[in-house]
Amino acid sequence: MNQQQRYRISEKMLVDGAFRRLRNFPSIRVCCEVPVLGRSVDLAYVRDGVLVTVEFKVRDWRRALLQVRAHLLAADYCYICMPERRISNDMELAMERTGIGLLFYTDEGKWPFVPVIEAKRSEETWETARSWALEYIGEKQGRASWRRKKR
Amino acid sequence: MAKKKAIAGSHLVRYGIAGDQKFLVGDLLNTYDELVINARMVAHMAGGLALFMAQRAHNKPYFIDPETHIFQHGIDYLLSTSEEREPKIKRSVKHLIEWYGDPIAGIVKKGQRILPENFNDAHKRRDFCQSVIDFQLKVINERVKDSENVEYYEFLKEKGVVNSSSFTPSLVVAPYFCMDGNTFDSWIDINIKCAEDSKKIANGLGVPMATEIVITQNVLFDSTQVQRLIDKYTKLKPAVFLIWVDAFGEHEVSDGLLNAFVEMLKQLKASGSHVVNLYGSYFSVMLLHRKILDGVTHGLEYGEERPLVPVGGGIPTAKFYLPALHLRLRGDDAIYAVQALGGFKSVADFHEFVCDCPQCKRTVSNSPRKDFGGYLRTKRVNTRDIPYPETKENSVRHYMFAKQREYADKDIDNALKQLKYARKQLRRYVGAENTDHCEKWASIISGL
Repeated sequence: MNQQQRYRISEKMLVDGAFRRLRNFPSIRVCCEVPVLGRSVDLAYVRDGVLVTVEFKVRDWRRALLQVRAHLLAADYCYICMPERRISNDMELAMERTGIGLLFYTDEGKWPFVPVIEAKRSEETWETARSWALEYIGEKQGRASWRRKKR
Repeated sequence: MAKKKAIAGSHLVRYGIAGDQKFLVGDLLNTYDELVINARMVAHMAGGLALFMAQRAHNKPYFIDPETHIFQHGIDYLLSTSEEREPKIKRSVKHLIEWYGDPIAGIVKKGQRILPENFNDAHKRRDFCQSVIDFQLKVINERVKDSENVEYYEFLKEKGVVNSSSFTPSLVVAPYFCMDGNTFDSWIDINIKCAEDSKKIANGLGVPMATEIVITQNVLFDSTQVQRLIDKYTKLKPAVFLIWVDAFGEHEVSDGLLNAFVEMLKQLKASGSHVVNLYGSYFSVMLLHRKILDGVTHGLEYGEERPLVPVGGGIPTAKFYLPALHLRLRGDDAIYAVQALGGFKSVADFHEFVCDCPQCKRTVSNSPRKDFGGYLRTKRVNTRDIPYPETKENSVRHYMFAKQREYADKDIDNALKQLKYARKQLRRYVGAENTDHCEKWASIISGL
């Protein structure tokens, strides 16, 4: 994907695209905008009892890493998802250091993500926040994002 | 009228909205000395306040902030906002306008904003000051006399539960308007004249008078304006100066601004009047212990700083007031901080290293890791995470107990050591933005 193509993509497009396709998997519970300790996770899903959070970013991976830090308190695995791009040494080292994984978004196939850097299991999970997130996903799973404004 | 003490003590709490009431009574009643009540709330529910004062607050001293500045920011700030209804003046503001009369009533009716020249006429200005003072002295008293509970109040008087001064504020506040760097010259003389007129009225009634000085940070930046402010205001010699610097977050502002603030307070204090910061954090409490301030007000969790507009309140958020940093931390940072302090190891460790206030003893009593959620749990309402009622209750109660300790603990040298230690211990976990104020505060306070 070239830079011009990437800039035309918005985070919302990526979130909505991933959400629509994950919703088709019967074994997955998925939800957008999951509250975690006063912050919002773009998308979170639960498969086989494992809670995964995904923060979508078109460009600024450093900012994404800061945002995802809070997700580590609620999730088992945390990812940043971006359109396909070059991975710099800095980026790879930061991901390695924080244990946060990297996904590329793809339009092809049923699964919307291409794993690029595997996330490590969060060592910071605060069980209370995790159970709140699971409860929220259980209640709201599969519903379209509230971010769509009423007209 | 019997002469009362201008302020009952150094710990003042802002009673901003009706929902605050439950956190100002019971075992929290003795955590503070005096209430500061917003005029809009008084205008809206004077009867309810009378009952609250007599029955639940057990004659807690109070005074009313007349909030005259709200009329200078434009009509939009005075309107109720509802998608279903046409915007109209909020009921509480309408009541206030009825009490205050002209020039405010006439100008707001035309949909205009108040200007300094509206107060040039000495006669009308004096009448306006009289109305604003009458409101503060009479609004609750009149409701007591008119209410269907009048017999009940008589009964309370006979029993000695209330007395004739129970419903009278400890002081009256002169009408005031905000001065920013640009409008300073236009407003300062009007503010001074309002204070002079009010002082004569208050003296005649035998009530202490306070002057509220409301400025923006721009004024603090300008030493010439600050000096003019001090020269003019100190000549007034009111019983109390009430200070409000717009959105003055003592945690965030620069050393230079904090120093300018302290310098201004010192000069006001030197004039012999009491000085009270209407919105202050632990930094102001330390100024209190250094005898530069005589009182500091805060709200219930919120209200350690306040912008002039919007005139109303904000959306509540779930945060935990960490006593070590004297700061409300959002959920994720609070967890990292408690973990770094070793508070999750055991209940005893939580109480030793994080907080052992009565509320923390109640909330964190079994498993600190799990129980701490009692301070942070929220529910999603539309796009916002709102604390559950029990979350708010736990947090506010903890905050009130923590503040009580701050005011009571006068060992500043130890406090300064603790501040430096907390910064060192927590900086890498919760960031510079949540810890650097400790060093800044310690440096300024140790130089006083």
